Amino acid sequence: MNDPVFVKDLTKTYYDESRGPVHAVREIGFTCRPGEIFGLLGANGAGKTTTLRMLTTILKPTAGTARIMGFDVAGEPVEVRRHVGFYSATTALYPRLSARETIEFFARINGYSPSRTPARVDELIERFGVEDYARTRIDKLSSGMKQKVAIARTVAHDPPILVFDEPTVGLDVLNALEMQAILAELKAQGKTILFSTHIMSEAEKLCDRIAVIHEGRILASGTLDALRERTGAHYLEDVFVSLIRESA
Amino acid sequence: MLNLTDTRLVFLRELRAALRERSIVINVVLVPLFMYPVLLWVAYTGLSFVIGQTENFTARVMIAGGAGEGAALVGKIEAADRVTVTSMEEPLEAIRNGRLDLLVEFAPRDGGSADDFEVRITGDTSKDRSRIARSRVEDLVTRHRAAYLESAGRAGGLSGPAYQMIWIERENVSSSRDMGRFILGMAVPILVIIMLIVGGMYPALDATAGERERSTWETTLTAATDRVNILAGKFLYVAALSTTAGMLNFLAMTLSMRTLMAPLLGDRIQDLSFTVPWSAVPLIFLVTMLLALFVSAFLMVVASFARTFKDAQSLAGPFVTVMVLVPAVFLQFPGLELTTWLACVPIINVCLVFREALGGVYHWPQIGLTLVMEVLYIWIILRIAAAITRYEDIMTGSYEGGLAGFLKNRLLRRHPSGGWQP
Repeated sequence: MNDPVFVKDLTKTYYDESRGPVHAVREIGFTCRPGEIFGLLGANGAGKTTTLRMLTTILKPTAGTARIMGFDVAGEPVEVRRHVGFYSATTALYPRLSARETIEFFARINGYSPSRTPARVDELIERFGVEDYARTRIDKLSSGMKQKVAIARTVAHDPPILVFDEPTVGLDVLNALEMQAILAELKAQGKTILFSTHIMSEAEKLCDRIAVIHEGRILASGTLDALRERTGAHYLEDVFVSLIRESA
Repeated sequence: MLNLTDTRLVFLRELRAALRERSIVINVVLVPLFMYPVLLWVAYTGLSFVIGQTENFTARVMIAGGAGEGAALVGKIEAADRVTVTSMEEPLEAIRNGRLDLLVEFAPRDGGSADDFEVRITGDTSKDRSRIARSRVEDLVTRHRAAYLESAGRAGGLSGPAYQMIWIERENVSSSRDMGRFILGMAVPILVIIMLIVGGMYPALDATAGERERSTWETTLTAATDRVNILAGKFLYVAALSTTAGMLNFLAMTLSMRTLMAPLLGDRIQDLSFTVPWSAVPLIFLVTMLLALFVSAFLMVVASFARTFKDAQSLAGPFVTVMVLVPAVFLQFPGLELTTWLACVPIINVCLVFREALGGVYHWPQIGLTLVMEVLYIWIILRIAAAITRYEDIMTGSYEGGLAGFLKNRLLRRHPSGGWQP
């Protein structure tokens, strides 16, 4: 229960007007340990994004429990959000604010100390190399610059847990590598990172532990070596396919 | 529980972004300040030109008959300004097709003397020219009759006052200031309310459907604050811009009314004073602000069912039209006052409080009722807004239905999707 992320029997059922109940996530469970990168690996539509949205309180679980730094996602959503930074391809930036204003807004609204906010904003602007564009409106920035500002706003309040939902989707190779380097750097700073992807090589390269998710269920979780041992396959791609065939 | 610090942060963030959006600045500041004054000036100048043209045309009149005393009247008609006497083969047909404005027929009354005759005037009331020609000829006939009666009275030994018997004297107790305020009251409230609605519309749609379209809504939902603070910040931002648009328009209209009315009133403008009583300003501000809160809440609720800004415009458009047209038409009824019933009708009640306050008239019980009803309407809409936030499919933009379906299927019945967290 002392793990930064604790998930047990978490379930999400949508109600669709035409299809009725749709089970997006079914009784999943896992934990993330302090300072590790935990990967949710699954194909498109497997339930990764729904899981991460529940953990970041954008969606409410239908059943089950999830705790972030000990705070219940259903009962204490504000405290949960205060301890999490959420990055996703679907979370865009405010186009009419500048990079500086964006980072400052998220630091303040997420509870970062008002007196320390200017220094924190300067630090992040320098770290992500956006000094020259700090006062430029977001809609005038290149996609690479926007990506950096988006990460800066995710970590603006210095949360202990970071959730990245398919962070490299839509990025070119160089920007994807930059993203991977940033994740590694954040891990080195002691952050706990929960990270979803459908790219096997990325999961293999970055994650300390991996959970394979398929049709809303977690098929297996553990270190890459443990998954290899369980399936007898070497490459993660083969491990993944083997687990899916096993579940069919 | 509302966190004022977080609400203020959201409010300022919205406001800062809005002031960098050209269309918002145009709708909230430039249009209220300049568009209506300029448009009205152009309209009034055009109107006075048209009126001048209409008043100066020469009426084509055909006269039939006219002997004895009638001949004198015929002479007066022929000599009148802006009247020309003409002759046609088929006068009625000519009136119908617009070649003739009026037919004036003189006929002796049965058994009467040569001086005892009747004047039959035939025209086409569906034509402006014919109506004006008729008014001119009737005026000549009336004056001729008055002169004849006076002369006949004198001949019979009656003085002017004696044969008139009843004299009418007209007196206007209203001052130039009262008349100015009356004119302000007729024009300004409805324009201010239109501006308030238009000024609130763009920010309301932008802060809801616009955010969803730009994919920044989910970003906002990740903020570590209660949803109510986000909604309150956005709501106050929309209401602030709506109030600003309304008050700027009020200021612009009041300051420019003399210039606007000058083309229409000509020299009579010198007799008018367009001033707003200072005692009315707090009340006007209060009702304007309450109406802005009502309109903002309403538009935001409607727009929350749209996925894109365009969708939201389509959804809000009919409501905005009704909100603008109904009071605009209603306020044309003469003698309309703020009654107890009208104090319960949203928008119209504010228009009437506004109009009466400009004229220095205060029906305090009805004004109190108006304020209570406005607060009640705002509360009802905010309750609906709070109910909407419990449904994550609406909050995340995946809801397929509209406002009516939501009210019917979810608020009035228990829905399988249940609710959402605060």
